[in-house]
Amino acid sequence: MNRAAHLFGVFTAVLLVPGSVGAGVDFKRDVYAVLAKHCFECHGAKAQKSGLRLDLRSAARRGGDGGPAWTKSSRASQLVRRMRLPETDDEAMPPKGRPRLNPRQIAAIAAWIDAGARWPDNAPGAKGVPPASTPAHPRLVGKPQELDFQEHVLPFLQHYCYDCHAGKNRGARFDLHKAAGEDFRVDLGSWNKDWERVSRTIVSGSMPHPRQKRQPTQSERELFGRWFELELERRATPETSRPSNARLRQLTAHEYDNTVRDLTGLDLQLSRIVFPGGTPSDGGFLNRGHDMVLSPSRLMRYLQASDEIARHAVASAQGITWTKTPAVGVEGLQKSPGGQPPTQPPGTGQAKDIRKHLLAFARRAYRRPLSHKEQESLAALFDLQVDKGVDVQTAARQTVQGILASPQFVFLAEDFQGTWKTINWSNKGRKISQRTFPLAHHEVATRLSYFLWATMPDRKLMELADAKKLHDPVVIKSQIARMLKDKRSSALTTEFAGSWLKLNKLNDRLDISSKRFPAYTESLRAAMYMETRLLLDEVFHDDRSVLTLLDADFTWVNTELARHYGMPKPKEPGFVRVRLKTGERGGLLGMAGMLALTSHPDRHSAVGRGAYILRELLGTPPLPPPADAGKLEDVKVGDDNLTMREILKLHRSNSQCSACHSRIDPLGFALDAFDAIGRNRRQKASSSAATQVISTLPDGTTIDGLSGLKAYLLSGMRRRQFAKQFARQLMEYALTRELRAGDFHTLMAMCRALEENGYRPSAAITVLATSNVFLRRAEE
Amino acid sequence: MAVTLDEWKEIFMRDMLNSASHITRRGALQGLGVSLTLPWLESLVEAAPAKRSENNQPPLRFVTTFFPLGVNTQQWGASGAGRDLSFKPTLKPLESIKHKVTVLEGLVHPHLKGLRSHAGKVAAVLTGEPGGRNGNRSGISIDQLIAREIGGRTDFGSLALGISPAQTGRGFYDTSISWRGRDKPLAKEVDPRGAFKMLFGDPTWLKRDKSVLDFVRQQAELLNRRLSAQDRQTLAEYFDGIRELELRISRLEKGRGEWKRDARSELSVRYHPEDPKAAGEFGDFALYAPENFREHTRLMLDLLVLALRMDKTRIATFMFDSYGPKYMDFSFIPGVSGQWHALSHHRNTASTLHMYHLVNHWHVRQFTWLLKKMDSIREGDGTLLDNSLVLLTSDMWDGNIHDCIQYPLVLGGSAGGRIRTGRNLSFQDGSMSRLFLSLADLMGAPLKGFKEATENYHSELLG
Repeated sequence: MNRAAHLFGVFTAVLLVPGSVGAGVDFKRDVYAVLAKHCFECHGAKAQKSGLRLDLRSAARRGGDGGPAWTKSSRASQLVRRMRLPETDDEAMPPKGRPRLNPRQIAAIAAWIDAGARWPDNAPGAKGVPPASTPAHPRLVGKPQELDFQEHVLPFLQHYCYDCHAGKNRGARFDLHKAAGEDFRVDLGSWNKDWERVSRTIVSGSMPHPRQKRQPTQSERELFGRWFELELERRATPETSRPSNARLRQLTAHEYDNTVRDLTGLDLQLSRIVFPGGTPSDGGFLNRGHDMVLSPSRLMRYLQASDEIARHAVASAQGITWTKTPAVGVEGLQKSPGGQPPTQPPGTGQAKDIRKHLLAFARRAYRRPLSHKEQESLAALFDLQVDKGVDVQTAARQTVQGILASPQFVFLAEDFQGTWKTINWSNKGRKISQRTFPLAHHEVATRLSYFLWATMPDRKLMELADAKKLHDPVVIKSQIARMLKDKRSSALTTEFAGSWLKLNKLNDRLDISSKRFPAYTESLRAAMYMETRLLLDEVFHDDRSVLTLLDADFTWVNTELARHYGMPKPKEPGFVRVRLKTGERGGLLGMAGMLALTSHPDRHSAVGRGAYILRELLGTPPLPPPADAGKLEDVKVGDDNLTMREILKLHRSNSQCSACHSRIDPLGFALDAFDAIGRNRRQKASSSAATQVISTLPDGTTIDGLSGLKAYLLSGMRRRQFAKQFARQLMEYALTRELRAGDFHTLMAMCRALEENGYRPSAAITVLATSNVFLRRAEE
Repeated sequence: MAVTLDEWKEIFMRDMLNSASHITRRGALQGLGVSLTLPWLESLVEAAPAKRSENNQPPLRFVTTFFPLGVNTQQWGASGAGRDLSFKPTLKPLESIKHKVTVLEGLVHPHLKGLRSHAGKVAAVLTGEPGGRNGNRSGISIDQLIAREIGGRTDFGSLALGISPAQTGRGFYDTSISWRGRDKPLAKEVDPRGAFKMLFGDPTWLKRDKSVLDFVRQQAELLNRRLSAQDRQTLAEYFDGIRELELRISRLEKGRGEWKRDARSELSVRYHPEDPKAAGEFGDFALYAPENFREHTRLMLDLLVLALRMDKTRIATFMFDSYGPKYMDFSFIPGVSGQWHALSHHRNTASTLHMYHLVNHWHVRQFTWLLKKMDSIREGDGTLLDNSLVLLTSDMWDGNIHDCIQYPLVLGGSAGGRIRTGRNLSFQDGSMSRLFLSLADLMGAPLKGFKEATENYHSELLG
């Protein structure tokens, strides 16, 4: 059919238009004029969609992003092929809704191509040369609050993103057009990770893809980011806030040990039985229920660990006490001398008292009052043993073992009961309603204590829960203040910040070459870790500004670290808090630990450090390198004398790499004064090139060394990004899950609270812990 | 001085507890020195001569060993058959046991050929279903299908061993090849202590704890009622654990399956308290430290052989590594430097390709070692290896481009002499699933179909 039409068209063309160019086609009349009418609007002087411009000979012959518009044969030519597609086809040209070419016109163009596509010198468009790079594209300028979606942002997105992310072309399976709609339908329902990713990748320069020629300027990127944030802030009204549920989870190894310690008063460290080999992490929070794996032998391990714990228990009518030296083994005790059954039936005084104490113990272990049935089952276990003739001590221990192996203890389960409240919202215009309900007061106590302490609630929290006071914001606020002051809040350093900032990975940095860096000893590594820990502890414990992490005028050193830093030896043994005079150190980025963490085993890495800043501190991770990205060694073209900086410069000259590396490398170069173990290389005489620390960002900002970098990170967009990153990470840690749309209001509120309260952690924590995403659960 | 297994359990436990106080990794390693040697584990458990009853055929075992990241395809492969079977360089270590192996070429899950990313590939090898990002998806793996059928005959239905612990933080799609079903990856045992204890510890305590176990089940049921549907799904794994233990208890009470050679009763454990190597340092074994990688691997393989030999289980998987937070650094192999993952993206650079080959070669050597070890154990008229099917495979073919056009595959053993070994079998448009159907059938767990396959490869394999 198509083919017949094609043939027919050619014949008619030949018959009807004799003479002139090629097979009877007049270029000016049958080709240029037709293209001008139908195509130039998008592929002419005004716009060059897909990089294609058809009004100039030179440009038209070159073709567009998708290759040449025509080849030797018309049938293989995109131009003709797409003109012939049915209007409904996504690739059809002119696109849907535009006036179509008739078959005769197409046939004429086809005939012209088949005849050699001659474009005579005297024809229009033959002489003009397209201006080198003045693509007529929409620019984003002005203040973010003055930008209009229709007028400014949509054309910007269409120009830069729609080629790959709209309609049929859905790179990364993401359809921006569908997500944005004509009127940017980002209402509370459709705000999602995708949208945030759009903003993040554009702001960070990861998108448009580095391989694309068209790239917005840095200021356009930032402007877009600000506009997006404002837009979301505007839309994230309190009604948009709605809770969602994390997956049921077990205590982590750390939480298990802490909880057993607080239950028994003995630091038994038995998580090694439950979690053999530890729980290595790629940096994510270990408390994320979704990522936990139950091992086939896990229950057995819980039984074994709780058996060990139970051996430390001594039950008497006065209560259950815990002794350091464990009983030899339950079996040993079971064999009572002479084989006589002990004379303590469960009804009698002592057994009755012990049973009462066991129930009280279970209440602490389960972190809530037991249900009636749970109590019955527990009493039955104890009574059964005693009835069988097992002595009360052993029976009590077996009961303790059972309690500690029960899922009520090892899982942080939240009840599915309470008074419902229905909330409504809409997703892309669709009305949705969901029921939510408040956590029980004891569950609030548990959430709070595992959030701030990584252990069970203490007596005070349990009392408040018993009194049903833990939904009161004032009470929560005062509890947060109290809990941060408690030394158990160091869990925020080790479990939260340690994961977020990858600090815990420092313990794995044993691979740093001891040949190259003989100074890097075990004790130095420990001191490095301790320095960062002490800074974080102070931030949480003393409720200091989180910006202290970026810059501080103090740090902690011991003798070894002081020597490492070239500072005077502290007067006292152990770690001493010292004031810093110069901007040389101070803040995480001046700490040897962080500098070592981001280095290679044999050299420091500007790329590693730059990427760390973008990923962990600013929350704007660069795209991972493409699978076929070369190694630096390959870039080194025959010149071994290049410095790393020069090699990286070569690397950046590769367009594929430049988009990301032009952002990553300058941040890292600012730290070039520090070697792989965080020594200031300028302390020693060495070449000037090696210690050059002035670098320039794509937008022209110059960064001079560590102090310049700190100033840069503390200013403008970066300060906000860092605060948001802190709030986001804190929230994910507290809620033990990834963030969802309904969390956004709270996240923004946390950011605002940080800004308004001197960036003190308690401000963000309080907003979070009094929000309904923290205090409520959703129906599933 | 000999101690009983019970006493050993106590000693073991104490050591574990003693070493529980915080020891830094490097400190532990210094203490470790070279003391952790394999013959030591060997010396712990020594088989007495087998008491064989008449008409009692040794059982068959199915083991899958796995390494991620594919192979240097130029160096992998074999040709010919029988005495003429010859190997390309990576497979050269198999030379010494070539009469008992089959090299399989051209097998793949056809519907997964287009799968280009790393994600999901590991889970797909034995399941034919790619894994998802958050530990979800995939489906039941062939080893678990077989275990469903015959796993009830041993103390442990199946055994999943490995070197790298499961990763947390970003999903664990890539840490397991063995899946009990959709969304249910089996966690591997990576700690030799844990594995030893679990496999060979005195199980009588389970009986003693029966009432405790009953109590835990009751409590779990009570909790279950209060949970949301989603949370119940999570707790279901806990119930699985309870069920597993109850099964073990009932097996203990009833006695075992038809294979009466209960090696546990024939083993004696030797322990020399004066020998500092014996226990203490074993407890300090630092997992996941590159320095210990080789020893760790051998130790786990040793435990695997021991478990098979003592008929603790007949189905096992062993993962040389998974995509962990870090990729193993194979710099301990002369001539290799750099991370494994980086090497697998060789970009056809000769030097990188060579190192990639060397890493593959190391894995083949470990595999060969495993086969030879199994072959050294007499069982019935043959050896443990003869009574087994031992696969070696990976999740992709050429790591450079993550392609899945075929799986590298070597099969050791002959399922009691049924497979004609010592050959290189090349399949046109071959199907991994058809191979699985053959293996399941040979293991005595015939399946009607697996993924797209309904026929097996018996005619090719049994020849």
